[in-house]
Amino acid sequence: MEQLFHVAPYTGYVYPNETVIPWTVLIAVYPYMTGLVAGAFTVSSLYHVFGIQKYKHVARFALLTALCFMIFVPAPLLLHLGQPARALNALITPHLSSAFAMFGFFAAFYVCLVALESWFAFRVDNVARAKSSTGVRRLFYRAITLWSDDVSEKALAFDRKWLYVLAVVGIPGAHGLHGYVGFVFGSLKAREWWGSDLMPVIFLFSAVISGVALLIVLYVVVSWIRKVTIDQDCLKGLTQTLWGFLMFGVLLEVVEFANLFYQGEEGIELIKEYVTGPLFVSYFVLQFGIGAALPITILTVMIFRKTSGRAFLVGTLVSAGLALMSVFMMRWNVVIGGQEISKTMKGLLDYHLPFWGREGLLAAICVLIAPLILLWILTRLFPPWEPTNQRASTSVTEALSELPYGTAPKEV
Amino acid sequence: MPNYGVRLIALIVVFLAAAVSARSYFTADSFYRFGHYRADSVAEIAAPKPVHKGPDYCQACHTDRHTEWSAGVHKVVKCEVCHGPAREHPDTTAKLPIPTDTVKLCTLCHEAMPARPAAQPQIQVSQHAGTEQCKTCHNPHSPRIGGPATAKATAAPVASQPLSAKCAACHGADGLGIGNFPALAGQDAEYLIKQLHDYKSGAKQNVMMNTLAKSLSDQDIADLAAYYASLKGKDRQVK
Amino acid sequence: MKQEMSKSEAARRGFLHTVAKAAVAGVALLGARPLLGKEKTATAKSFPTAGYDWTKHRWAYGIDATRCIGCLRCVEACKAENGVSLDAHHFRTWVERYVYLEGEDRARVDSHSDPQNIAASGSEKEYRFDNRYKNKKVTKAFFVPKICNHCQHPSCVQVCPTGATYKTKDGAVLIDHDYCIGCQYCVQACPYGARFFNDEQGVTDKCTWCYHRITKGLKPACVEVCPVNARIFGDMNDPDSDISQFIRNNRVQVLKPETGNGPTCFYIGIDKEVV
Repeated sequence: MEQLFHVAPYTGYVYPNETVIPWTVLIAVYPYMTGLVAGAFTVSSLYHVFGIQKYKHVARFALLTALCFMIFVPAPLLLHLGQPARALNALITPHLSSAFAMFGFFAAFYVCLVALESWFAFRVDNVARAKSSTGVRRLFYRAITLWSDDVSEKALAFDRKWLYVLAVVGIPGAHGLHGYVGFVFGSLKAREWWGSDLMPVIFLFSAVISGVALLIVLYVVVSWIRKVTIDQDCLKGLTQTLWGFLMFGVLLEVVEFANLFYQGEEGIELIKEYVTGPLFVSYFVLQFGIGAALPITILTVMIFRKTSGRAFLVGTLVSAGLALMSVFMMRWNVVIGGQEISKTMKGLLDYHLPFWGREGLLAAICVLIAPLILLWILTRLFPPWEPTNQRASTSVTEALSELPYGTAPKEV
Repeated sequence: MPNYGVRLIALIVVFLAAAVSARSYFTADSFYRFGHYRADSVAEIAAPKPVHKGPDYCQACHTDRHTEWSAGVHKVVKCEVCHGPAREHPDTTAKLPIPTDTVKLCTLCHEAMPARPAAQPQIQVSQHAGTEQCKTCHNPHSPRIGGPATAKATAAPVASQPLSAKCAACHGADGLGIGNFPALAGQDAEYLIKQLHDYKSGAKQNVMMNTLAKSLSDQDIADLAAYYASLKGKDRQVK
Repeated sequence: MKQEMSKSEAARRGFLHTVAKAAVAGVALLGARPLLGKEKTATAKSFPTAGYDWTKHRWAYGIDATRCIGCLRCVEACKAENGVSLDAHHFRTWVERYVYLEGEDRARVDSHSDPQNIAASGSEKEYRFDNRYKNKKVTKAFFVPKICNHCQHPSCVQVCPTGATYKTKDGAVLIDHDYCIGCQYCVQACPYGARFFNDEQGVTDKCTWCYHRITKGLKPACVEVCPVNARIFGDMNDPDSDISQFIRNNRVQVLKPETGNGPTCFYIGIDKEVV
C-alpha cells in the first residue's frame, strides 16, 4: 500500500512521531504571500496616507497587488489542511488563544479592507468606464459602481476621506496580519529555532522588504510590457525604501541569531551543527549572502554614487530579485529549518520536497503564480496607471482619452 | 452621504448579518456547553467498546488454563499480551492466534540486553538453547521449570514428551551434544547420576542445570542416566 | 431636475436607512441567540455515560523507568486498542532506550521506530529493540516509556484554532476527530512530540489515556499489559489509588518542567539525558 505520508530520514535521536514532518513548503509559501501583501500595502500607503507624491505611479497598482495576493493567501492553507472542508470552523468557533484563529479574523477583515479601499480608489474610473462601454461590460461596471454615477465634488471628497481612513486603518491591519503570522512561530516554546520575541518583528520587516522588492520587479516588468517610461523618482524612492528596510531587517535577523548563540541554552550544539551543516547554503549563502549582503552592497554603491539610467535599473532589478529570493529563503529556513531540528535536541531530520502532490513544488509554484495571473486580469479591468501629473478624480475625461476602452464619455 | 455610500453600508450590513447568522447556524449544538469544544465529542470518545478484555474475560471459558496461569510466575503476563486482544472473541472474532515462533516472542522480554533491569529474568539466547523453541522446555503459561504448575499441566507440550526431551534441547536429540553442551550419549551411567545429583544439590553450579536437576526425582535421574548410557557415543580417540 | 432627484433620492435614502437599522437589529438578535440558547441545554445532561461522573475523578499517570524492560507490549497493545496506524511513524505511546557506553558522557538514544530496530522486528507492524550493545561495554542503560503528558496547561489546546482539542473535567486532553481541521499546529506546539497526524482521517491524534476504558473503570491498555508494573494509572482524588501512592512514596519528576505545561505524567528513575 502506498504510504500517504513522507518519512523524513534522520540522524541522532528524534521522537518517533517527528519522522513525518508536519508543515511543508506550503507553510513557507503562506507567510511569504502575506508578507508580499503587507509590503505592497505599505508602498500603497506611502502615497495614500503619507502623500508622498512620487509613489503615485505605483500606488494603485500596489493596492491591486496586495488584493490579488491576499485573495490567494488561503490557497496554500487549504491545500495543506487535513480537512479543508472544515476550515471555516476556525471562524465559526475561533479559539481566541490561538494565533491561527486570530489570523483567520485578521485575514478576513483585511481582505475586505483592501477590497474596499481598492473600490474607492477605482470608483471614479469605473463610473467613467460604465458610461463609455456597452453590453456586458457596461453591466459589469455599473454593478461594480453600485449603479451610482455620482462624481460631484462632494462625492470625490467622500472618496478621498474614506480612502485615507481605510489606508490608515490598513497599516496596523497589514502589520497585525503579518505580525500574527510571525507570532505563530515566535510564540512556540516547543521549538528553540522558532520561539523568540523578535520573530513577529523580523517577519514584518522582511515582509515589507519582499513587498517593496516585488513592486520594483513588477513595476519595471509591466512598464516594459506597456512600453512606457519608468518614472525615475518613483523607482528611486522604491529602491531607497528597499535599501532601508533591508538593512534594518538584516540587522534584526543578525541580532536574533546572535542572541540565540549568546544565551547558549540546552541544545545549542545541535543548532550550531545544523546551521553550519545542512542549513549552511540556504541560510548563510542564499538568505544572508547573495540574498541580503549582495543587494545591500549594490544598493549602497548605487545610492552613494548616484547611479542613474540603465545601470541603476539593472542594479535595482537585480537587488529586488535577490531580496525576493532572500525573503523566501528566510521563510523556508524558519519553517522547514525549525522542523528539521528535532524537539529532542538530539537529532536532525531531512525534509525532501516532492515535486508532485498536494504539497509539492508544483503546487507551491502554482499558488505563487495564481495571484499574478489575477493581477493581470484586474489591471485589465481596472487599469491603475495614473496619467502623468494628473489625479484621476479631477480629469477623468483626459485620462480616459488615453485608454483603449470604447470612446471618451461626455463631460460628467 | 452620496448614494453609493448608503448602498455600500447596506451591502456591508447585509454581509455582516449573513456572517453572524451563518456562524450561529453552523455552530454545533453542544459547543460551549463545558468549554470551548463540542461537548458531544466527549461521549463519542468514551463510547467505543474496549478491545482488550483482560484475563477475567478469558477465565469464563478457559478456566483450567487460567488456573494454571495464575498460579505461575507468568501471572503478570496477561493472556492478550501473547495471544493478541480478545476483541469480540468468541462471538465474531475467531480463535485467537497461538504463537508458534516462541523464540521471537519470548525473547522480547527475556533476551539479555544491557538496558534491561537485572530483576528481569533474561538469557543469552545463543548460549541458552540455540535455536530451539522456548516451549520445548518451558510451559508458556507457567514457564518456571520445577514450578508449581508444571506437574499439573494438562495439554502442555512438555508433559507429553519423554523426560529426555528437555535434555535433547541442549544436548542434542541423539545425545551427542550441541556446541558447548557436552555429549551425553555413551557416557558412564554412574557418572551421569553423580553429575545430576551434584547439580540438584548445588554442589556443581550451573544456572540451567541446577534448575532442571531440581525438577528431577531420583528415579528420573536413574532413568535418564541409563538411557543416555545406552546410546551410541562419539568415537573416542585413545590418547 | 435637481429637486426631483433629491426628493426621490431622499425617499430612497430614508428607505435604505430603515432597512439598515432593521438589519443591524436583526444582526444583534442573531448574535445574541447563541449565548441565550446554549445556557438552557447546559443543565440538561452533565455527562453522557451512565454511571460515570467526570467531576469526581482526577486522573494521572506514572512511569517507573527503573522497571521498564523494553518489551514494547504496551506499544502494540495501544495500537490494537485504539486502531493506530500500523507503521513505525505514528505512536500514541513509545519507549526510548538510553545507553551510556564506557568513556562516553552522552547517552546513545534510540527508539523502536529506528530503522535498525524495525529491521530486527521484521516489519513496521511489530516492535522490538535490537541488541546492538550486546558486545559493547555499557556503563549504564535503561528504558523510558513515553506518552502524552495530559498537561494541566496544554500548549496544544492553547494553539488549536477551532477548539477541536480540549482538556476534560477529569484531566484528559482529548481530540474531537469530527471537528479538527488538520492544520497540525498542535503537533508543532507539543514539546514532547506526543501528537501526530492521521493521514487517513486528515486529523491529528494522540494518546487519550484510553478514555473509552477509564470511563468504564478499566485501566488504559498500556497499563493493563505491562508485565513489570512500569506504568501506573489512577485517580488522584483517591488517596489509596496506585497513582496517589506512587506520587506519595517516591520522588517524582516530570519531563521538561521549564515549559510550564504542568504534565500529569510523573516519572521516577529518569536521568539527566532523558528528553
